[in-house]
Amino acid sequence: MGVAAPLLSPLIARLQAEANGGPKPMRFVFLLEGNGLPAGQIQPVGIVRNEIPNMRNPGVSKQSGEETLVDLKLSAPGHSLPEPLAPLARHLKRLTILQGLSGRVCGGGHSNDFGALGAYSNSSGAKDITIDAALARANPGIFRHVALGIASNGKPNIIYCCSASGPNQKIPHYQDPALAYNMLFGRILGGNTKAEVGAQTMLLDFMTDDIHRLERQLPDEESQKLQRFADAFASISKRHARLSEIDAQLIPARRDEVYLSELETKRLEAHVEIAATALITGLTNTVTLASGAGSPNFEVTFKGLGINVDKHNIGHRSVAGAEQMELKTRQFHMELLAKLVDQLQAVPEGNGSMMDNTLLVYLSDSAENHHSTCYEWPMLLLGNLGGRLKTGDRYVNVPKYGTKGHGTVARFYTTLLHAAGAPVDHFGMKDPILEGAIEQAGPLAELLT
Amino acid sequence: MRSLVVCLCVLILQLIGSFALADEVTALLHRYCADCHNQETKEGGLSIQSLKEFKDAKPQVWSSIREQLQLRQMPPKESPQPTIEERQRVVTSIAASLRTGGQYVNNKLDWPNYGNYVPHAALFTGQPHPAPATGVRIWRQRPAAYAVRNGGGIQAFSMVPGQQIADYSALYTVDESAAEIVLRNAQQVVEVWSPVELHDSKLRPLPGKQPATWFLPILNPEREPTPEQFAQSVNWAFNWAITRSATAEELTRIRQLYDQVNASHGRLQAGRSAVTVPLLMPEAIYRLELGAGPLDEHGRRRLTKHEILGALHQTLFDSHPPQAIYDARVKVELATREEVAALVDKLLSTTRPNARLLNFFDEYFDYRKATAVFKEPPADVDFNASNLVRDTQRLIETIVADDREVLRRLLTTTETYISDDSDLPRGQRIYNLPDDFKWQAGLIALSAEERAGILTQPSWLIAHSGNFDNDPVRRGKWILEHLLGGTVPDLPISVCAVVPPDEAKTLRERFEVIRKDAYCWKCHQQMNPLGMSFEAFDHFGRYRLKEQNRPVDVSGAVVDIGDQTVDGPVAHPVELIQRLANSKRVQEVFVRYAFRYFLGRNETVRDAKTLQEANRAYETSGGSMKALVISLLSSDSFLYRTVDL
Repeated sequence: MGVAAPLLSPLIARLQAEANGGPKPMRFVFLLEGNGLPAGQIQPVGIVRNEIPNMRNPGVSKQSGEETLVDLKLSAPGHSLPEPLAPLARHLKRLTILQGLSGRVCGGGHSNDFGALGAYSNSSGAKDITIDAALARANPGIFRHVALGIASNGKPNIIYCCSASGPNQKIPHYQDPALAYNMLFGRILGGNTKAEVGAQTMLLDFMTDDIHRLERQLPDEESQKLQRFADAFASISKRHARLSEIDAQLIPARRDEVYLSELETKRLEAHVEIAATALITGLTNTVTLASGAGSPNFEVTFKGLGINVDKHNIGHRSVAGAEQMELKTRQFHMELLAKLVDQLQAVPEGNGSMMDNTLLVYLSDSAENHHSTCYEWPMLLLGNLGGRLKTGDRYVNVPKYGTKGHGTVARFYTTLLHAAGAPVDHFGMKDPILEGAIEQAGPLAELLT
Repeated sequence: MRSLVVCLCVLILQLIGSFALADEVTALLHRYCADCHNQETKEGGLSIQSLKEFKDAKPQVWSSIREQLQLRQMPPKESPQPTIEERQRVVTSIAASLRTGGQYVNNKLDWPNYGNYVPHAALFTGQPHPAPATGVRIWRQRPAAYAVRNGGGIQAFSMVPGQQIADYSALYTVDESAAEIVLRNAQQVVEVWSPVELHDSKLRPLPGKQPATWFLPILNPEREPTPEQFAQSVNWAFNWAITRSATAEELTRIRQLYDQVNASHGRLQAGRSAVTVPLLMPEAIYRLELGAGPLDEHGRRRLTKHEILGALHQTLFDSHPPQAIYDARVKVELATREEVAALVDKLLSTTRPNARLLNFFDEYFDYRKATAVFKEPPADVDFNASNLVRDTQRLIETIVADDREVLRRLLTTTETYISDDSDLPRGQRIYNLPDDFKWQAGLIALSAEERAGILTQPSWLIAHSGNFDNDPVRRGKWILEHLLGGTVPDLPISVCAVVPPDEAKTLRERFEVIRKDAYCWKCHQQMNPLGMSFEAFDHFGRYRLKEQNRPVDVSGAVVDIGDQTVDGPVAHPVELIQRLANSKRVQEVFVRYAFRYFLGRNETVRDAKTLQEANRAYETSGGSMKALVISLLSSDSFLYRTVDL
């Protein structure tokens, strides 16, 4: 490869790296939808699930009650996808329905905020790194991590809702798709001259040095603020210098009727399009999409679907037809996921497609319910990460809470880190109630190849 | 607590690593903690008696110990308590050891919702520290202030929702996404200044554009700018961005950058880079409060005149500086507290109340979020939350403009505005006005038996309610924290805070499950009785006599505040509010919140003098908010910085 390597497009570089026996690329997409993902909504038709009364709200809801691991093929005779998941039928071979994981340490309620991806208590903000950021760190692109999302209040350009790169380091999610498009692709499309990029690199190096000068006059905690500012400029400088690697022709024109729309559906659609473009161009390897995730963002009204009630109210079941509204909203999100898979599998990579080396994780930040207890945390997985995960065409329901073989969300995230080649003994917080009762360290053998 | 105990049990079993503490701190922990946390009793699974175990415990255990001590959750109330200084020594020492070990220390006392954990008595009784000061700090600009300065570019910043006071210096940093927007905005500003291009290696204006003449000499590829021309261009940009000229040292370094860029990429890029510098400097993004005066005997430095003017500007305005600040640059030294006070007085002496001052009340009463609480309005009420919020906004502005007995009147006024709305005949029902009521512009009298001030305004009642019902916890929590200075621990992870629905019961009856559960009641015993009194209103803010067709119980209580003038049962919310409005403690707590808003941080014991002076200023001026703010903004806490806190 020699000196020519940095000039190759990320796509060609990936192919060459693979041909040379280098590591296969990996991509991760997380889609978090607010207001809960009830287990029943993703339960395949034809598979009866054992349930027990919810251990916190026994009279109100139920939870997984399987004594042993249930591991079935989704495509087996007699099985079919439930109505909310209908749009995923075309990707059944890539789909895994994962039931029964618990995340009690997160606390539950309307949202687990940063705890949903961090596997820690939702009571004190961004306590530590979240799994999406940890995977991005293990597998960085030009942009380490692209985070996008929508919230009840559509006004702020940027929201902080569920991702963090470390303690108290919340990752911003672009809420305005037009802004996200411009910030991610604008410089590539604008065709910045070599002189502009070169001058900017010198300017940012100068600024980084200038910030460090001030930093020395400050006590520790204040200097950390500036350290982050300086790091930001240094990182931007590096990224911009690499933007010439990106093939501008892979970036679709901004569709203003979608990107500038005030409709939640359009904005979310635009975000998913940005996510696809960012992955396909090689701009990033990790994307987090948040649809009304985190407090106080979970009161989105999906007017674009003809719904005039916000999701909080739908979650409370306070209006007639709430179930139908929820179904419609769920299917909309599933269709977005299905389209993203369509796009990624249309891009050749190695002997297959880009989707072969990608994992999409869909979950709700509030876990299993609008008012969750986190005794279970239903999830959908699409893809198998180049065979690193034993996923695709599977229905997995781990044994019930407290029973041998039960798995936690923290352990699932640990599994992802193992798959990503950045193994840790344990990610997030262990469930103190389960200590001694079940294994909480290491990856889940049911999922890791 | 139960969950914490379990956590500690678990963590203490996994002893790895090492942790060093000063012997004095170890001794203090033994003195105050070992009665329960010893080898025999091992309360919560934690023993601090064995020095070996003690030194070997995991950092998470020490974080928990530190937090419980800092937030005064340990030792238990009935046990002997360390002095404030002793407690501080232990907390600081554990934090230092954790940091040395590379651990993150979550200092909750830096965050907005934890200010009340500083003991009230330590702030308003006894001999205060003679020399208050704020730590040397940098404070990211508010989004509104940045918007004014970034010349119509994209907003780079946002505020963290859910904070009692939104703008705390500790809350905000500039991360990569924000920095990228800042960079882009800066480059666009510079492009507007320099609408030129190179044509045959010569500079020419873009069609129809006229570049600024001060800028041209440093862009021209045909001639090197003189040092004077270079300085003129750079200083123009400095003054635009950070209202000062570059220092000689800055000019030298920026000239080096200019020469470096010129050598590789030409003078056009070099000139643009040079004038972009001040737009990206920390000073353009952050409010710098370093203090450059001589070190005094208390280890403090006074802010420079430039810093004081910057701090006053950014504290009181989101707009460009008013003329009085420009005038003060040349006409006043600001060397004494009196001079600063006189300037603040001038800045606040406007026809309409200062917008940032009014915003304090918006954040303090937190009523604007009424518009975000989704409700299905009943058929007989035209429910328009925005109008109700506007009513309260106007009421606050009127009382603040009058500037007499501000807090008392905000809490007790029986008057309100009612928005002039075409649907008024139905909208007025929220205020329980009679059917024959005739709308009038200006203040309208409400029943003194039903209403008293902001806490009985529909906007506040709605903001502190749920989607479908009242929320006595939210209302009680607000009163406990904002008026009584109480604290409410974080919701434990094992708690799912939902009261079971039961259509046959009143809300008060449904809440009985909380009272019956000792674990819940421990935290709710102060909040709920305060909020329950507001069952006199429904969740739209309408006064009511019945709930579920039964007479509504509107009794409540102030529980265990430790102040005889406020503690005790109440029969009605108006009685509760009147009692609180007459309380010395409530006024002091209000002063604490004002301090937090205007200083952008929680008060510490060292700020006692500032708080006492501000409280006195407010009292002796007959409840003037202006007097209170003048006192705060000319205090040592505002004017002095230290690294020794």
